[in-house]
Amino acid sequence: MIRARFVEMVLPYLLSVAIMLGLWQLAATQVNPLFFPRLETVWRSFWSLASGDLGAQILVSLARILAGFGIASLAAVPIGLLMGTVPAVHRLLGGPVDFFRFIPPIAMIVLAVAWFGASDVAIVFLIGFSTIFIVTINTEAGVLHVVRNRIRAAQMMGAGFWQVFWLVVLPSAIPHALIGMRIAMGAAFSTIVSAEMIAGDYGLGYLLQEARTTLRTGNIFVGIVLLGMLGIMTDRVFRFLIDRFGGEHAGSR
Amino acid sequence: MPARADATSPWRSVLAPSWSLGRGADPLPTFVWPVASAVLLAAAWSLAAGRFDVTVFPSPLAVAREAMRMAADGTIWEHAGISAARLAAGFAIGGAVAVPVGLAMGLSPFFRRMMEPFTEFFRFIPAIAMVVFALIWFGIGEASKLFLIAYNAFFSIAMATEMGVARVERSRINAVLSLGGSRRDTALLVVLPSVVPYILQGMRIGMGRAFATIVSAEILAANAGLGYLIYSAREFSRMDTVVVAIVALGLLGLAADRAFVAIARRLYRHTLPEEFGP
Repeated sequence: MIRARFVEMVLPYLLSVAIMLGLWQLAATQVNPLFFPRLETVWRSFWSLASGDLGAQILVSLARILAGFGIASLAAVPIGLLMGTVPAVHRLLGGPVDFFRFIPPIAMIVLAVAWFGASDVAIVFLIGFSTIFIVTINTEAGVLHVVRNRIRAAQMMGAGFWQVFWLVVLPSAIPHALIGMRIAMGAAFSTIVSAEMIAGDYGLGYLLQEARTTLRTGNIFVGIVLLGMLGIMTDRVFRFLIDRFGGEHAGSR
Repeated sequence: MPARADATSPWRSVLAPSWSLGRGADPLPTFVWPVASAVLLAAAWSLAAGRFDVTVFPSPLAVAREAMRMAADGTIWEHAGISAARLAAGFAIGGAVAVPVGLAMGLSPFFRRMMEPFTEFFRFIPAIAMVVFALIWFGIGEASKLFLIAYNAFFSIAMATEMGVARVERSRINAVLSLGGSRRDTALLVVLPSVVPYILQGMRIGMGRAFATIVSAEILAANAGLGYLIYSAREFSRMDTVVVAIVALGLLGLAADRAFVAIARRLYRHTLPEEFGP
């Protein structure tokens, strides 16, 4: 039984990772170690970076993400609730919000630097720009998707506007807001890398850019793997939150 | 206060909560709202721009003038065309690889488990982080940009295709089998057609990310395209040019998105997956 599970579940994972690493190492030794850094080079790069300020670089990037994402989410949820609740607000703001969503946040970098200087504020602004429209639209959709019968039931028992809002609409909209935040977090990661590569002075994106100009492909590989791991970790946090507070959306992947 | 909107007021239809019954018809003709919305946006923009220099925050009028100039001398079409061509070509390459891989992942659990360590890991890596490897592997020409777009598109489309296969109704497959169809028939007659809307949805999601990637890539290593236009305008503090390029990007993205929705609606009038919205 355990053996069957091993063959079925774990073996393919191990097999594919081994094949991938093997091919990579083969490419590194046969083609060009500059094109495909050898695994031992990557390992050494990791330790030399880790003994330096790698931890601080990661923290700076995460702090920027958290600031921009946090501020934007705090603004987006009330706006989304208002747009979902009052049709007039939806008709006034729905069009612009829908349009701004299609502007790649990194395209704002020149404006952001002109407005805030090449500083943390500019990068935080770009993260906020990546977040705010996605979370607003999802929160609004949450309000509009509340099951009508729940509202009717509450109204029938005498609930007024605020009671319906707090007890029925808000709890049903929160899972949608969380789903939006999960999507926005992916966008924020993409933005922070580009923003720090183009205008950063510190952080993971800057580390990649620095490794690029000095052609240290081992360092680039370390940066890429770290980004993947951080991305997965933050995604799992939101998955947990959706499972915990997501109501009928729990368990969705 | 929405709850107290007078039941006889014509404004009830737009001020009462969206969930209240019998709100009645909108008192205004339909075109009024988009116009009001645009006027509101332009007013807020002018107000903000009025307090700054044109090299920091250009007014709507300055941007409109610049847009006319760029449309007349063809700059905007040239750069937008280059970006759009890169996106389309990269998407075609990425999709051509992703659809077979996604189908195989959906049909064969063993293959899915073989691929999962990579799809689950690499899809969290922003494509632009690969820019350095793209440049080393494919040089500074077009190939490196196509690789980044294709890389971007691959994960969105492959994941969506796999999900589409997983959601195919068993009963429809069983129907084909019980009528004497082979496994190949089920794949061609049932799975493939019902996966197409999911592929389109994956392309829709991937398109948004691809736009962000192409802009970054064109800023970091290109001499044409909307991203390059934005970054080169910075040197002369031409913020009006920057805003025109940003708006062009937004319009291009919106058009691509609407095109995917229109295709999906046309192909699958009644059976669109819920992800496409109402």
